[in-house]
Amino acid sequence: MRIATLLPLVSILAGAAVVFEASPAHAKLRIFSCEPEWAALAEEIGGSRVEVNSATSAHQDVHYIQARPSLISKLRRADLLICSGADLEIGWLPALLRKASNARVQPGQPGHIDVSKIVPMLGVPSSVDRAGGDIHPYGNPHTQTDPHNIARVAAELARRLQQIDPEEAEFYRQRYAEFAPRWEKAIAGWETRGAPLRGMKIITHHLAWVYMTHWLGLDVVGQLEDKPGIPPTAGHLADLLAGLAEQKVEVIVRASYQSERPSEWLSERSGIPAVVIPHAVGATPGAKDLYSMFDDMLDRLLEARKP
Amino acid sequence: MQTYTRVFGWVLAASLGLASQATSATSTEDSELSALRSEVEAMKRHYEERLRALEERLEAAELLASGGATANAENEYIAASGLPSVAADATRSASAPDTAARPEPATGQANAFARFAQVFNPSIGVILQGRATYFSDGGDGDRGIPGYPLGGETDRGPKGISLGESEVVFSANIDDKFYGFFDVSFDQDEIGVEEAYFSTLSLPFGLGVKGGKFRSAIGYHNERHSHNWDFVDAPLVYEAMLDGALSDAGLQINWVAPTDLYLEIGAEVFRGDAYPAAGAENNGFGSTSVFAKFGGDLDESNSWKAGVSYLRADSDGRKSEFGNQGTFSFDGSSDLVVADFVWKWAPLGNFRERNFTFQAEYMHRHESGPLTSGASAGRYRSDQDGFYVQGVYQFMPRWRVGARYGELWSDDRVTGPLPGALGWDGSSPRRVSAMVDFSNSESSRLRLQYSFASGGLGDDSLVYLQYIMSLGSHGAHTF
Repeated sequence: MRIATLLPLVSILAGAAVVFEASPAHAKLRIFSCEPEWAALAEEIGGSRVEVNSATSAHQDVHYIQARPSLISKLRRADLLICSGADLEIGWLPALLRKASNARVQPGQPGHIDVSKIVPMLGVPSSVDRAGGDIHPYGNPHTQTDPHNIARVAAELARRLQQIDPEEAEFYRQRYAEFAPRWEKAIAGWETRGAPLRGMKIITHHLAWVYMTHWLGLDVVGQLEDKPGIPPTAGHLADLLAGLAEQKVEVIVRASYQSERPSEWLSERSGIPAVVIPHAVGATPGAKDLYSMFDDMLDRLLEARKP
Repeated sequence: MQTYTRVFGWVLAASLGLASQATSATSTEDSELSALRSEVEAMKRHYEERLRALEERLEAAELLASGGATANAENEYIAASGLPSVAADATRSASAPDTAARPEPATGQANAFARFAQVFNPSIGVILQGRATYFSDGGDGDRGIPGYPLGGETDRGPKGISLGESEVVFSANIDDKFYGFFDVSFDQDEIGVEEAYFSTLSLPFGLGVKGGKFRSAIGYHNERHSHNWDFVDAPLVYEAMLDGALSDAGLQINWVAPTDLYLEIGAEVFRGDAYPAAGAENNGFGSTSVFAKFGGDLDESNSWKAGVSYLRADSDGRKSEFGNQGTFSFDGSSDLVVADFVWKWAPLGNFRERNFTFQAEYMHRHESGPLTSGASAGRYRSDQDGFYVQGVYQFMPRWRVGARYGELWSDDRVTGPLPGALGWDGSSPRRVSAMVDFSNSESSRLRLQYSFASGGLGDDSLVYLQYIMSLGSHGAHTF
């Protein structure tokens, strides 16, 4: 095959691209969300005007996702991307963005929302040494467990939707105007219910709860993972167990995608309940949307606190 | 910033106060004093007003720059309901990269670090590889495959302890339109540029262009660097037909279809210096390829990808060494067809705990053209086939086991004065491998592998102990 035969091939390719692209524009805005919680929020704000896809589910460890063909296809057609950022998706999102060749969702475009650049970040390390495990230099990326952050992202999302889809700007403005006060009211309710939790000592599986514990004033006294991202070891668990005698730890918290074995092991030997707390929509049967996710979070923490 | 302006205000007010006291000490006349006082008061008011205006402007600028991150919910609510903020956002998105829009992190020291990390560009990764090898036949790396005129990279590596392909990788988005990648490797004997290319990020219609030296997109295994391999060595069929992997200077164009089913088609043209081509034939456009890839999810737990590719490579003086028979030079053409299939399973799509990958590729190659050795010349024609299948299972976090089988067939016809020149005796070379590896984190991996090669490969047992360590930037989880 020579260049002469390659040229027609390339023109066929380009022709096919134009024909496919010219097919009638999709009426709804396509939103590609890296995590289910931002997908749920996009549905709250975008309502019937958007079609939302979440790249991951609450049962997947978002850090370990692969740049699957189906995700490339979805990102290829997206009008807006919303992701937690701060390197949480570093293993796959950059690869997807390169492969999908979609100018609308590249960093810096209105169609690219990086949550870590909207909310105040906690846990920004003073030095990054991987001897400390999988450290995120931009701060802890699991920002969604504080509902105030959801409110901040909602505001930015509403702005971007208005910008990308100006014809429907009034629609998004209204949706947001309905959502924001309702969400503020819900936060006030959770904070009232959560007040007795202040100072409660907990152990968490992974360093994924700093925003929730900061919000509710919980006291994290240990992690099942000795180093973030490195699976719990028997030796570290034994050390934790030995240290439990002095601390009045009330609950061992893990996310739905984490192995139950380390927390169950510690729970059996210490008598401290091990509980799955919803970190995202879909993580527990009760966490059906953003509201019920926080409802369930508080239900489960309060339940664990009962004598 | 606000604190600075406030401090500045206090200092100014204090010095003005001092100045007024000094004035009062030197002056005796009351009227003069009060006139001065009111003047100073006026100045103070004037400066305070200017400071307040400045603070307000700064606050507004910060609000815009951070997308409202520093504002409270009430402010956000107002900002999002009004159109001016949208307009401001448009200018921000157009002019400033995302890095400029970060809110100030919590602590001062961390703050400085985060800023440093953000401006650090390009991202740099270093991959350390090395191994200890035992061959039961006691021989060194050189080894032929009966019936196959091989390239120069196909030896099985030195015996004993040796440095593997240790790499330095630089990559970054060059600007909003281009991405760049540079990878140089060092091993026991040589330094080489693995890949050095740019690619486009935002061409219209889902089109992409890549230029430079890069791994061809043919097949599945070809684009993977050795630190991403599941076994120490490349599959036998890749060694025999692509000299490990096809990497050459060239240009690629590809297109991803806007469909639910993943569909990518593309074409490449290469200089033609890399095996199975040689000598940059066709005025330096020596090899061309076309490929199509498909893929999708069966359900939440199962995903697949399949591809077909075709490569045409022309050779001018392709050298192959053949043990004691000397060096042969090939001046013909190669046509290669590759079919590949990959299936991955992880419970509910969660790769962290357990996962399984099945992978298989089949290749068919047809070569024909003059073959010369010293003064003797003959005509060479062959139809060759080969495949491998492999499965790798991560049965618990950090631990994986894998098995692979590969086999080749050949049908060599050398006419003229060089009968039987390529040493093919009708056997089918094959290799079976088993490995176990341990990854303490995503950045480190230790592997033990056993292989048995037979069918003209000398009934040879090979044992490898390998380390792969990566420093710096995070690698990609490609499918």
